[in-house]
Amino acid sequence: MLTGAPFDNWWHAAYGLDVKLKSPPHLSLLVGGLMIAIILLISLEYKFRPMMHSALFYRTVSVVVPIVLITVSQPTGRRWACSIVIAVYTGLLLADVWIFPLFPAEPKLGPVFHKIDHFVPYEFPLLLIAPAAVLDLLSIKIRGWDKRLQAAVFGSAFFLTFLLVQWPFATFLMSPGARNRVFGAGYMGYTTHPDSYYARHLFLQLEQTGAHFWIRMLEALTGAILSSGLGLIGADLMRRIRR
Amino acid sequence: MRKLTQVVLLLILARPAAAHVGSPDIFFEGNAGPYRLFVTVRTPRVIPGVAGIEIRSQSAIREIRVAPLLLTGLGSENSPAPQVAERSADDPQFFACSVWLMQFGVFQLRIHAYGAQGEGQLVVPVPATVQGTLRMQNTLAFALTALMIFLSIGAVSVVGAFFRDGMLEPGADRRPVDLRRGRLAMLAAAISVVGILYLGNRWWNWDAEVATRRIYRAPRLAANLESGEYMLLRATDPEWLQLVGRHPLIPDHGYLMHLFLVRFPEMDRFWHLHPRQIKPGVFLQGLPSMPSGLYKIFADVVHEDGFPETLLAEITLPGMQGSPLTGDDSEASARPVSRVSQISGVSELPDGGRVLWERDAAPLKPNVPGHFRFRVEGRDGKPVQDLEPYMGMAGHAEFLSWDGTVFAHVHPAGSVSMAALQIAEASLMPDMANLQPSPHRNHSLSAAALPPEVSFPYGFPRPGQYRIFVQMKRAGRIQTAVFDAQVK
Repeated sequence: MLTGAPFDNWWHAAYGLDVKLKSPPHLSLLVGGLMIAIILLISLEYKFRPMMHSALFYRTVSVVVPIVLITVSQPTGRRWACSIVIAVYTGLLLADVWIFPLFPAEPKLGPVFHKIDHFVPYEFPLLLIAPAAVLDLLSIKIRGWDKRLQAAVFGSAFFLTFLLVQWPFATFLMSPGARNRVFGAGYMGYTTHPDSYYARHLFLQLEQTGAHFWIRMLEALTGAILSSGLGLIGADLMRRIRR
Repeated sequence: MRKLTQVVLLLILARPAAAHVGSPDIFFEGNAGPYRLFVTVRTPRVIPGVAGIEIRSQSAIREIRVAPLLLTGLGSENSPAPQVAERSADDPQFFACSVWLMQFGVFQLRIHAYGAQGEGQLVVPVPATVQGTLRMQNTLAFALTALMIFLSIGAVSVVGAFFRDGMLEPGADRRPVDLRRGRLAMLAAAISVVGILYLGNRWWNWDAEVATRRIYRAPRLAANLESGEYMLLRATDPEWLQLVGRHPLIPDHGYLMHLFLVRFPEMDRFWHLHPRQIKPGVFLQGLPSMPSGLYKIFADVVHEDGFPETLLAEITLPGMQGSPLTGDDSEASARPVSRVSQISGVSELPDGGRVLWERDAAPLKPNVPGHFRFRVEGRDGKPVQDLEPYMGMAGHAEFLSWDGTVFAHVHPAGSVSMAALQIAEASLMPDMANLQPSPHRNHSLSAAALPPEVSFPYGFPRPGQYRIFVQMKRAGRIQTAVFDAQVK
């Protein structure tokens, strides 16, 4: 299964997209949104709320998201392509946070560290909508620029916007104000131990020293630029598909 | 894919080895309210893993439900949804189910029985450790390799199609430049695929090595003779010493350690002693008079979280004079195993009495749970009336394989640690411990006269030859009967 899934995904991406691009580009954006959701799911280990004040989190997102986002959205030529892709991702996760807990459930496996009587959703979506909108606005202005410069602009804009938006939002998510049905910060799985950072709404400092933190942030910025560059190459390939 | 393979394979392959020593399955007999249940737990090979549970009831039962909780700590308070055990089609009093043990530690299986006589609950402590890893079956490996080759070739050909044909207008023919581009892309893809497979293989091996390091191995002690009459046992494994620091040992039916010494290879001399812990991980035992020889040492201990262990050691002793046995210490002599010509169901006791092993004529098979019943007769041939509790129980039995690789210390309640069982039962009725009769009423007896039969639930873990030491107390004297068994 594990070997099949990425190849299957890739297979459909290669064979499926060329058909889909001929039909309304909506579908490619939908697929893009799904892919982002899936990829972010795979890199789940680095995306928990307690990690949102660590550089590792920003590095992961900056490396993983731009390549997919740009590859999928650029070829459509739509004005708000990135935003639409991220809107799909955001919508999926919001549906998860808002709808899942409405259904009753009980733990099927022991040990049970605290009682639950309903489904526990995944976390509130990352605020990728902000960097997505910024990318859309920029892409009109810098269309036609040298590709490497475009990558630098897209990458830096993505990283900075995401950092400036997600960091304070993370602070809010850790606060009591977010522990409700809208933001879902109060939901805990039954395997979450009450002594864990997660249950205590605490941030985990993954970087031991300030230097380590800033080096990783620099890696995040670089990663975003490289990822954007690869995304632009990918977008180019997608545009050239004829059959 | 590997995890799925492991789950599938562990359910169909034979049982491997660990706790006690070489005897990983747990056998237990107790009362769930009005119902007497014989419970066998086939412990999982890996963690998280599936424990197979078999329950035989002595009376008619409508339903049995099983839930796993941790024995101590936070996970011991809330129960997940219980599994309903399936009734066997051939035997209406036999039930089976599977339960996931999701982490390391000690679990308690809460078994709830429902029937015409009402409902009742019993609890069985189950330690969860990694017992081994699995090699992949050849057929599966072959199938996966074939699929991997197919996918690799497919991936490369997809890349080729993309770069060769994907950018041509519909209906256009391929030009040499397209073919070249396609081939170049396929070469790059092939190199990437090989790279991915190589890195994936390294990742697999790394994970496998991590898993192998987690396999539970019985800790070893260093055993030395001091001053000609004391044996000093020292824990040498620093990780085990750390474990003892975090989870100190607790007494199990009266003693921190039950020490068994058996002379090998003849297994003709046997001692059951109780050393003193002079500091964490260091035990001192004054030795009785012992003939020279190599002795294998099995030391049973229990940690405060209910985790039982059998520590292993060996010592070569010269013939020595020592102090006579006192208190609950006991010994036995038996025919050397090399001179056992036929398996007998009778063991003569030094005072003229005998112990008879009551069993049917059916041959002994491995992995089959059953009762090992022994009747004690006096010199006059009549069943005795003077059996007393030995360390709180009607008897203690030790099952040892002739090659020394299997050791199990079993009580009438089963092969679980009595200390762990007490913790489990206390958690079952936390507020009522003061009101109810003692939770260990099933297995810790007051000094009233006992019936002349003792019964132990157990199952041999694998084929081979075994020696069984059955220990009871008669009129203040501890007596040990010795039996041999052939398991095919």
